[in-house]
Amino acid sequence: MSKTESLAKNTLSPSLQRKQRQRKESLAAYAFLAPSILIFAVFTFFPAIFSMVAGFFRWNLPYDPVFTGLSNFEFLFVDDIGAAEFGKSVLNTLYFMLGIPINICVSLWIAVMLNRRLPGVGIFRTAFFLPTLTSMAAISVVWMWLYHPADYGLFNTLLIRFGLPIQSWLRDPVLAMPCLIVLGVWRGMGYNIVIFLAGLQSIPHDLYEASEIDGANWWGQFRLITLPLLSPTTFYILIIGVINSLKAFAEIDIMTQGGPLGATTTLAYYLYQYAFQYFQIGLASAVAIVLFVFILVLTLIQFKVVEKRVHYG
Amino acid sequence: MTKILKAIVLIAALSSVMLVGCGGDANSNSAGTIDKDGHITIEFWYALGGNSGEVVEELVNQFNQSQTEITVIGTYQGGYASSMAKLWNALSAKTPPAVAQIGGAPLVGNTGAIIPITDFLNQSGDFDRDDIWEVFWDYNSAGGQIWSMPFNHSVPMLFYNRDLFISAGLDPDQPPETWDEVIQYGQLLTTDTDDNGEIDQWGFNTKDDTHWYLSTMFMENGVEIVNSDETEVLYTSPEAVEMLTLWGDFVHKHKIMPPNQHDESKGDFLAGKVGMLLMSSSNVPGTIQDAPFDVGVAMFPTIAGKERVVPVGGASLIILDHDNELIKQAAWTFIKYMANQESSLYLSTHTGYLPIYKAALEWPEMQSYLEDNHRSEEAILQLEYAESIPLFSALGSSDAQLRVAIEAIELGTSSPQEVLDHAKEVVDGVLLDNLQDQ
Repeated sequence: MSKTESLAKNTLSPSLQRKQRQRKESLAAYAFLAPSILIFAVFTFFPAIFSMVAGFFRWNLPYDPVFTGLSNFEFLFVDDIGAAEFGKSVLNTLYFMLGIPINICVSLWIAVMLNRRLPGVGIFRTAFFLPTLTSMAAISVVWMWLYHPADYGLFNTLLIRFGLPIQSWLRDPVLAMPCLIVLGVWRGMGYNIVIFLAGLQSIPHDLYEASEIDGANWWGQFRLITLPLLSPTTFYILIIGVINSLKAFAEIDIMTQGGPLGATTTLAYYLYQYAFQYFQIGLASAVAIVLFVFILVLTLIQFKVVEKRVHYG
Repeated sequence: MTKILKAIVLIAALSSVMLVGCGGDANSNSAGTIDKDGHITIEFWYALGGNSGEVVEELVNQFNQSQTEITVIGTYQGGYASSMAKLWNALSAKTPPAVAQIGGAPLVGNTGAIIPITDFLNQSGDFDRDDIWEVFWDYNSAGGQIWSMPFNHSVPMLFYNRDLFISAGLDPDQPPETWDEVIQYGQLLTTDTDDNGEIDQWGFNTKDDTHWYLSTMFMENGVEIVNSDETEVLYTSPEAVEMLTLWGDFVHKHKIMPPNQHDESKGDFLAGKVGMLLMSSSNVPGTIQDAPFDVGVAMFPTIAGKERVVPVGGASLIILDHDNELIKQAAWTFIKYMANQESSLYLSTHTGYLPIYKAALEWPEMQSYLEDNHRSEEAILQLEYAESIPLFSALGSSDAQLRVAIEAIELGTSSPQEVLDHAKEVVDGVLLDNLQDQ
């Protein structure tokens, strides 16, 4: 063995060893990931790809699928009847998403209120979180009593006490969607409050102390310290909120079935109607594709526009 | 390294087991199996939950105990809509059960997935078609074939609160017979009980399957729902508009029914807040049990001077096609048992469903049952006026469109003619579109 050879071996071997170790580690990682990848592939990834393809077929169960190109999209965007109801469900979805900013404001306000050392604050934190733990089906049934259209419904009892005319709530095409939004805010804020509280508590206290010495008032502190440093949390809540409102289903199915007069038929519910009531799998898949593009565009906008304003402290 | 390799192999093995589990075997095991001794086991999917579901299970048990060659395994698949969805999916995946209970069975007929009952009825001499009401055979037929075996059927009825009748000065033994009387009684029953300026007791309402009651009113007024070629619906005629106008008048003109509160109506009726309610006869025992007041059950109101006619609803039993003749015969043996007189008696005396036999009222067991449960009798008597409501390929969207039409009329957003024209446009489109599949 010449001197150069042994030198080369000595210099190469550590990197070779490292490579081997890396390969070992990644093999182990893949092995541990395999079960979840498999479940994800079979129950999420494959169906997603499958419905991407099915959207281009005419497929009315139990008949076999027939390739029809863009005809499903033609129904959704061009056809007199189809485009009218589809367009309405898109608008309804956007309307329903009005709940997100409302939810963010309300939960942030409550989180700031709860972010103090007060006796009994734990009880309030628990109370606000409780709706999040309750099943949406149970909540919907209880809220149907609150929203009962007769004069013995709880909200109507309150209206009568204040001398106001009673309302039909969920049975009124104008009020139905606001009713669902209010329910969504009430139900969703518990989770948001907890996330906001965590965000608030991670803001260094010395910033507030320093600003106080500089003469900042409460509003100035909130606007110039709390809000900017909380922006990653707000961004996260915004994204979660968008996803949650796009997939809202249980409350609509239980409380309004998309009515009255289609006033609460969101994209997700519209998809459900075509897939599981009319059994038009192809058309429902086309709606799913549109919903996917919708979410994609919204998420891109969020990342492009909103992330510029997000400060990672 | 060897440890990691082992782990990978193990996971790969587990994964393949999972995948196999997902795939299933297309034809052999889903509907039924035959073991070495020739014992046949078949799958039966049913669609009734709660008390009615237990009664179906009990009938399956009775069948299993009545003989030794066949074992039936019954599985609840959710309500009619959910059962239908699961059956469609199972047919798509080629894993259907041997027998299923579904509503609107003839609609599955032209898919080729089920064997017409006609085939079996013709070959077996032990089942006399004439014993069963003709309307049930009609309801289960399409294109000259009987596709399904009548099983659990019901008719729409007028339920009323006898206590409220007495308070309103009405005779609880004289329920309204015509729509004019419904309006007249309804006005007496509609009041503001707590004097707060808001009506809180309504004279009249219907359960949330509003399309069924409107269809009944259409039939009463001689409206054909669909043409014989099934290419267009016919409920834009003046007779149909007249009935939807009457419906709107309940809300706006006579003010005996609250607008668009059908989801709440049964709860309100049970709470004593509704005087008269249209519901399926399948609700008779349950309502009597749940209501804290004396419930009355009357025949569906009619148009003065016109003949009474009501549709039948409910579900039937179908035999899914199968390669194995023995399994098909086992399925036939089973549904023949489920529809025989003893089973029909058991079903109709333990649930709100009707006996399908013409002679039911003469059976001694039925007579003694009706002595204690006289309110179940009206529905059976009403069978004499029952006619089959047409089943056609766009029935699902037609029903949905009729419900929306009713909503629009009750909320006062358009006129009966407009909403029915719109419904026709949508449903005719679906009918035309469906032709492509057939």
